[in-house]
Amino acid sequence: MRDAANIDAEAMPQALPADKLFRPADLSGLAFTTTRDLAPPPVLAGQRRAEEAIRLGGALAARGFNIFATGRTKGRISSELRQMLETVRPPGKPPQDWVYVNNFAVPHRPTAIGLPAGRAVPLQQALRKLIEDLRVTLPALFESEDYQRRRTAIDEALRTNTQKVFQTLGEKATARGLAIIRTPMGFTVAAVDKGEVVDAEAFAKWPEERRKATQDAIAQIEREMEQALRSIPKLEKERRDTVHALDQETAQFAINQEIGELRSRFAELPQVVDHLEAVRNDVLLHVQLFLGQPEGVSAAGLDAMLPGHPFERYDVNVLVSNAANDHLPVVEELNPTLGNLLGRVEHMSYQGALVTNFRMIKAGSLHRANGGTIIIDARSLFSEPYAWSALKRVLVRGEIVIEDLAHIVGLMSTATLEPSPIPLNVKVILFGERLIYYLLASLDPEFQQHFKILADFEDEVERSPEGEALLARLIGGVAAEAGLRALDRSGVEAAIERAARLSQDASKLSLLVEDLHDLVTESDHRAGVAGRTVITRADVESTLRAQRQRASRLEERTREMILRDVSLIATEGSQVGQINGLSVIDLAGHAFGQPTRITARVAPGSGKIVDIEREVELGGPIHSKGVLILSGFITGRYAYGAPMSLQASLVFEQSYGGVEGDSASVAELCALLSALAGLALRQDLAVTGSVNQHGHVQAIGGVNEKIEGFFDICTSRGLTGRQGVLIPASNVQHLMLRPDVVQACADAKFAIYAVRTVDEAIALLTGCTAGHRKPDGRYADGTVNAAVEACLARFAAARKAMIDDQNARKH
Amino acid sequence: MVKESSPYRRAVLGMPTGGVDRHLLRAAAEFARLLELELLGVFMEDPALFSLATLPFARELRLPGHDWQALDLQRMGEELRAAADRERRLFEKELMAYGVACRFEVHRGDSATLARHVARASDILIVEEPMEIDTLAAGGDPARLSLLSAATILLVPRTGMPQGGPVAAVVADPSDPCLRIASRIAAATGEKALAVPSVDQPSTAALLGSLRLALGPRRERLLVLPRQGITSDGMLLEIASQRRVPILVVGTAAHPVEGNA
Repeated sequence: MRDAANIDAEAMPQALPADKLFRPADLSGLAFTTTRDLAPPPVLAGQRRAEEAIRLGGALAARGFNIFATGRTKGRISSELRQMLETVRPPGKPPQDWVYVNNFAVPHRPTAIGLPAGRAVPLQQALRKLIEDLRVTLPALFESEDYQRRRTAIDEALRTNTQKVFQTLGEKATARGLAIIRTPMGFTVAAVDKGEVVDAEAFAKWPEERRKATQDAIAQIEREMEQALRSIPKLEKERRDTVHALDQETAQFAINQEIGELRSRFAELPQVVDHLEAVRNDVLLHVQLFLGQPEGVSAAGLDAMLPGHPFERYDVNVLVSNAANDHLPVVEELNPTLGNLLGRVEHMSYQGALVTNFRMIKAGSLHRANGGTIIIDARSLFSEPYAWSALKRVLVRGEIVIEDLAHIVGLMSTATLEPSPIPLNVKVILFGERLIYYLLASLDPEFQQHFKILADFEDEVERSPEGEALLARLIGGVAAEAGLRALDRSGVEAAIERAARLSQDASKLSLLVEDLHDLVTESDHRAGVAGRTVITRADVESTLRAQRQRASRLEERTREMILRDVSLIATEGSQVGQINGLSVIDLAGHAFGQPTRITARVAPGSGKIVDIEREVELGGPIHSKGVLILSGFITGRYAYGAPMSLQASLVFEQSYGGVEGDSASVAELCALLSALAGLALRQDLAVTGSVNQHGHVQAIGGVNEKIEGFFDICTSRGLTGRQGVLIPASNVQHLMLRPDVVQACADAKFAIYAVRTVDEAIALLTGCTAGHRKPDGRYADGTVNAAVEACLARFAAARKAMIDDQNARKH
Repeated sequence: MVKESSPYRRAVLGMPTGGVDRHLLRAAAEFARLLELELLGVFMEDPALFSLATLPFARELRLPGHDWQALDLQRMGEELRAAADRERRLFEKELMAYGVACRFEVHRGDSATLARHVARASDILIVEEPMEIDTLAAGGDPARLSLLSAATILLVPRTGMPQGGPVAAVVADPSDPCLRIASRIAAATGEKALAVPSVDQPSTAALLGSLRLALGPRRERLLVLPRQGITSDGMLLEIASQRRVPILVVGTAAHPVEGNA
């Protein structure tokens, strides 16, 4: 079988015609004058795969069928998703409202209550009105004469009983010549004589008998006094209990009436009815709250619901109200911190301590999206500590449990709440770049359990007439949405051509809306400056030139280094073992090509091709792979019958940064073959392409930038008509070159050659045919391959002689 | 309009040996502020305690622990001084917020001394509705004793004071000084003054009936009564107990008040 590389070994590739270098937009099938005439683009234009995935994910209610939408950042996935979800609202009534109310039994565990949409705020208002009414009704009731009469009767009953005991005791003491006296700390019993307390001196003068009788009497009265005083707390407690019962009875009348009205309004909601009962019981228990007037607090209005006020215990914290919604909610969380997702319990400083209650529970975006859809930027989510784990937990549990970051990390030791969980029924759509998706899929075993639907957004669309028409509508939509001028036909064509160039493929169109938006916005500005009412091709091309110019400082410095012969790049003449390779530098979205001199040196050796870039660790693994392939190619093609005795070195001259990729492997191989064959390579040509072990030239990236980079150097030095670039034939379909390059090629001042094999390339570069093996197994004289093989044979002989000589010396 | 000068100069508040109630302090301060009076806090050191403390077997039942402790002359002195200091601090702290002129004095004597000798005719003596325990001590409670004073008396209920309402004055005719004082207080509080006709034969029931008739289900913020209408200390306490409002007893007794004081 003949070597595939030799199939067209004799053919010399021809320069590509100009029409292969650039594919103009063709909107002939689309009738319009400006983009205003075009229908708006459909939602998720060109994203059928993603759209179907999202629709499926939206329709599947089963757990875990959440969606991960992936694509390029510039594709504006989030806005596309939002637009789709807003346009195609999933059918259904708005979800429940949610409130938190005080748990009177366990205050640190507030109770969550779900209500039909729109009922939360009325409940809150009703409870506030209830308290407001009770604050008026209850004091009036307790100040009424009826109440006061009964209260006085209770007080009087106690007073009378106690007074009777004390009075009797007092009279008894008086009868015995004693008096009970108040001291700073209590009571004492003293002997009295003629209305004066008897002191020690007077007492000592009394007869013994009288003294003893008085002391006995004092002891007796003391005992009775102690007994009487000890009975007071018990009597007081009885009085308090009786008053409390009266208060309850009095309050119950007003409270039952008010609560009863509320109960009938919310009768169909058992949880609310239960809570109203709890409120009723608590108001009864704390009826004194309504009778006092705490300092600094207004008697009426909502002041009573300010934090720290005793009446806030009866308030309703409306966590989520869907009163204004007539559809399922779609919430985009731009800052998915733990607190923003799950909600949080806030604290306020009170007398130096941080305090909180159920009213300080704040809803998270999951609460707001509950029953609908939440859209979260995956990159932001992973930037927030604990947020991803928390999201997975709520998806597993199927309920939202508010978690406090400060408590998780142990930064806060103050009392906080454990609000009861809220059932969660939400469709989560994460969006992010593909790298994030694949990293998650490989590193987090739980990821695919929660995100079973992949919505993979296309970066580009097929460049068919339909594709171009779609993009025209998309561009028109971008302009209309941003309130910009419309584009005329020429402007749209220029934008479409730019979209093809952005996709690095003449047969594709980029769907990266952000780029198109930037292009149209700046073009609109330029159209305005030029006094035009529509955006034209001139505005778009002016924008593209300006965009390039703004980002081209480094590109120009690099070119300047070459033109001033600081970086040695020849664009004329011929050199053995020296070739112009091409590389692309991509800095912050601005890519440009630059030529690099690649050289090869050969000598007899052990069959090793030294990649100097790799030796000094400047070469990446793909580049090293490319160089190793060269060994395979040379060994396979030339080293028949004898071990390869070649020592070769390859280097990217004046390259001080890293080298990665295998797009220079054709150039490296040509340099190596030139060095082996002793045939000079044309320096007015630059080469890009990778090669396999059989000599096939394979496609590379950045072909347009590479060609333009070399073209700019040649143009600066003066186009000779012989200069050009060799590219892989499979890259021809990607060509969307600048107009000046296309024009130079059309004028035969520059040329692009498409090569399929290394033989075609070496033929162009050396002017000699590569040659193929004749029936006798040898290459025809005068061909590149014959020269290479002869050189290798010489190296083999030289090495053999050297080894023989060494062996002879040993013996 | 010329502002009528007040017949009163001071409000005198007896600070009980066993400690003053904040509620009483605030009520006194508010009253002094309304009538633009100086508030004098008086702590009475009872000399009987010093006499008693000389007895070797004398002891006291200390509250609230209900434990007995022997009386000691030196300790008694220290405790009385400490009690006076404590009450002075409380007095000054509570009154600071009201912005009234105030003074605190310590006198030797008992509650009767305060009523008879410290409080003068141009003063208003402020006393609190007695607690049951106050009846235990010899000499009677300050509220009953106050009626021995030449001063006008303000009796403050312990609980159930109303937040608002008219200032009611029981008067025989429109020139009654009770009505003038009631009007002055009403003006200061933003309430209305209400004249309640006096009864021919003063009695608790008759007075309460007259008040109910004039006020209906409402309660008054303050009740002003003429001294001559109070025939006994029991009557005053009964009215206070029924109405549960502060009662200002205006004027000097025409005849000695009967009672157990």
